[in-house]
Amino acid sequence: MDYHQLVKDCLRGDPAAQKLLYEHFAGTMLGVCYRYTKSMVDAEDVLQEGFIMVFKNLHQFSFTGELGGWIRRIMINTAINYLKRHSRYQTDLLFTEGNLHPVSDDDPEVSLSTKELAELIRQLPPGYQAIFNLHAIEGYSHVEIGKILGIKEGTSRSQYARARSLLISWIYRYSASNQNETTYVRP
Amino acid sequence: MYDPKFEKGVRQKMEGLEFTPSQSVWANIQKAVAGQRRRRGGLFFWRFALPAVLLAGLTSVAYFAATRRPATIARPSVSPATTAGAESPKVSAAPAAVTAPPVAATATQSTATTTQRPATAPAAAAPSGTSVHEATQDRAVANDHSRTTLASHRAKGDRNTAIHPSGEADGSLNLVASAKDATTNTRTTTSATTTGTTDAGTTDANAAIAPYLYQPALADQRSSAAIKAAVPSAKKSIISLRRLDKAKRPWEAGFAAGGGVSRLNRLNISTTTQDQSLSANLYNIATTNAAPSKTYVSDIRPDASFTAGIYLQKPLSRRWSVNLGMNLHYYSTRITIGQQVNTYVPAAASLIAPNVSQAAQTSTAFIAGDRQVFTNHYYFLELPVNVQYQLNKSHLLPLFVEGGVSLSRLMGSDALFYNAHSGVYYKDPSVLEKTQFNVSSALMVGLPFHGIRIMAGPQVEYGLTPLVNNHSQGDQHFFYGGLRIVVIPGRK
Repeated sequence: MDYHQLVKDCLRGDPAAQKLLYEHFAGTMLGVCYRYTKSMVDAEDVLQEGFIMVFKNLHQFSFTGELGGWIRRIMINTAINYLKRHSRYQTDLLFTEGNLHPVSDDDPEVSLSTKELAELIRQLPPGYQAIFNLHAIEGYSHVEIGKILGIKEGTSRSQYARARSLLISWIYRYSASNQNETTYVRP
Repeated sequence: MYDPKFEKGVRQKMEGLEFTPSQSVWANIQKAVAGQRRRRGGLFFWRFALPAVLLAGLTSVAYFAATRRPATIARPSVSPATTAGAESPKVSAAPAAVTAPPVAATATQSTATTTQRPATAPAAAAPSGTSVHEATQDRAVANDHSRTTLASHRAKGDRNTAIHPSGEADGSLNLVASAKDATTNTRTTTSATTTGTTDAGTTDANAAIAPYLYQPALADQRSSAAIKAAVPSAKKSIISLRRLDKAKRPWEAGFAAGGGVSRLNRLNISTTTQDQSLSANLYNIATTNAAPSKTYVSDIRPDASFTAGIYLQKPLSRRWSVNLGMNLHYYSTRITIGQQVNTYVPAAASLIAPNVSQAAQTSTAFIAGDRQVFTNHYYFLELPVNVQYQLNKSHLLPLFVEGGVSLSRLMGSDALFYNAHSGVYYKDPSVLEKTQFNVSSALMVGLPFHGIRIMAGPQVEYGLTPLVNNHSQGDQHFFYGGLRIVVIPGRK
C-alpha cells in the first residue's frame, strides 16, 4: 500500500482514504489498546480517540518513519491518557506496600497463545499492566515511563519487576492447569 | 536479573494480537473528524472576528452619524426659539400678500405705496382686487399648513396697533375667525396693521371715516382673541416638540476597549484534590526507597488581559442609559512547569530496530516543576449588557458609573491543567466551561474631544461561572481588572 498517497488523500479530506487508513490499521491498533485496558469497550473507546487524534494530527506525520509506528505511538499515548482520566484506572494505578508482589528471577518459555497471553496481561493491576506494556512490549525505558506516568524511574523499575514476576507465576499456573486438562483457571 | 528473552517472546506474541472493532467506532470517528473540520472552519471564522467586529462598528457609526446629521439640522426648524428666525422671510412675505386686498380695494393711491415696497410688488402686480383677494385667500390657506409658534406670533403681534374695521377688513377678520391656526391670525392681524399704517397716510383725506381710526379697546379685544386662539396651538406644538425630543434619543454606536490584568480566583480547592496530592505523595513514598522528593505545583499567577469590540448606547433619560456590545476578551494566566514529556519509542513499531528511539509528542504534557513559565491563553466572545448612570451634571467632566452582566463563550484556549495523580500538566479543553456568565462594573469619566465622546475609567469583571467543570481543580473564577475606554464618535 502506498502510505504516502494515502496520507495525502486523507489530508485532502477524502473520506474513502480515511476509511481505508482506518480499516488497514484498526485491527492491529485495537490489539494495542486491548492490552492497556480492562474491557473491549474501553479498548474501542481508546481506539476511537486515538484515530481521531491520528486524523487531527496527520499533517504532522513527516514520512520519515513508518506510518504504522506513528499511529501506534498515538494509540499508546491515548491509552495512557485514558487511564489517567478515568478514575477506575486511577485508583488501581496507586500502589501501596500491601499489594506489592514479590520479585522472582524466573524466565519461562512463553508457550501460551497470543490471546491467552494478552488475557493474562490484562489481568494485571492497571499500574503493573501499563508499565509492563510500556517496557516489555513497546520498549520504553524506565526513565521515559517515569515521565509518562509521573513516577520515579526506580518506581517504574520495581513495578515492572513485580509485574513480570506476577505474570510469570500466572503463566506457570495457567500452563500447569492446561497440562492437568483443566479448561481455564482465572488467576 | 531476568533474561530479555521473555520480553522478546511476549513481544512476538503480542505483535500478532488483532481484533475487529465494531462498526460504531468508525461511525463515531467519521462524525468527530467531520466535526473537527466544521470547528476548524469556525476557528477560521473567529480568527477574523475582531476585524469583522471593528468593521461592523465602523459601518454602524457611519450609519448613525449619517442619520443623525439631518436630525440636527431639522431640529431648529421646529424649535420655538428658532422658528421665528428661520421662517421670518416667509412670515414677512405673508403680510405683504394679505395687505394687498385693502390696498387694491380702498384707494388707487395705495398702489404707489405698494410699489415703493419690494415685498408687496407681487400684490401690486395683481390685475384686480378680486383676483388679489382670491390669491390672498389661497396664500392664507397655504400658510395655514405651515406652523408658527407663539414666539413668532408675539414678535409680529407687537406691531398690532390698528385694525381695519372695513368690509374688507371684516372679510379678513372672518378669515381670521375661520382660520384656527395662530399663524393666520398673526398674519391677518399683521396685514390689518399694515393696512392701518398704509391707510394712515391717507387719514388726513378721509378723516371723516371714524371707524377707520385706531380704537384701542377693539384692538385689545382682537389681539386677546388672537392670543387665546394661538395658545392651544402653541401648547400642541410644544407637546409635539417634547415628543420629538423624546424620540431624539437614538442608539449611539462606538468602540469599547480595555486592558488590564486577569487572574483566576480559587474559591475552594476541594478536599479531593488535597487527598489526591496526598495519595500521590504516599504513592511515591510507598513505591520508592529514596526519600520523597518535592513536587512543585505552580501557583496560578495573573497576566495580561485585554478586550475590544463594538459598543451601542441608548440614552433612557438625561442620566440613565443602557448599553450593549460585543467584545473579544482575552484572558491569560501564568504557571510554572517542568519540561515537556517526550515519548520515546523504538522506530518501526518497537520490534524491527528496538534500539533506535524516536521522539513523539502527540499530546502536550509537562511535568510539574519550575523550569519554564507557561502562559495559559483564553479567548472569549462577550455580549455585555450594562446600565449606566451619570453621577453629576457636569458637561465638562461627567462621571458615569456602569454595571451589568455579560454572557461569554470560550472561543479557544491552550491552558494546561494539573493532574495530581500523574503529576503532569496537560491540555484538556473538555474540562473548561465554555459558556460563562460575568458581572462587571466600571467608573468612567467623560472626555468630550472634538466631537468625539470618550469615556475612560477603571473596570472590574468577575466570572460567576466556574472556569473548570472538574471540581477537583477547585472553583476557579476569572477576575479582570483594568482600564476601560469607550469612544463614541459624532457627538459632543
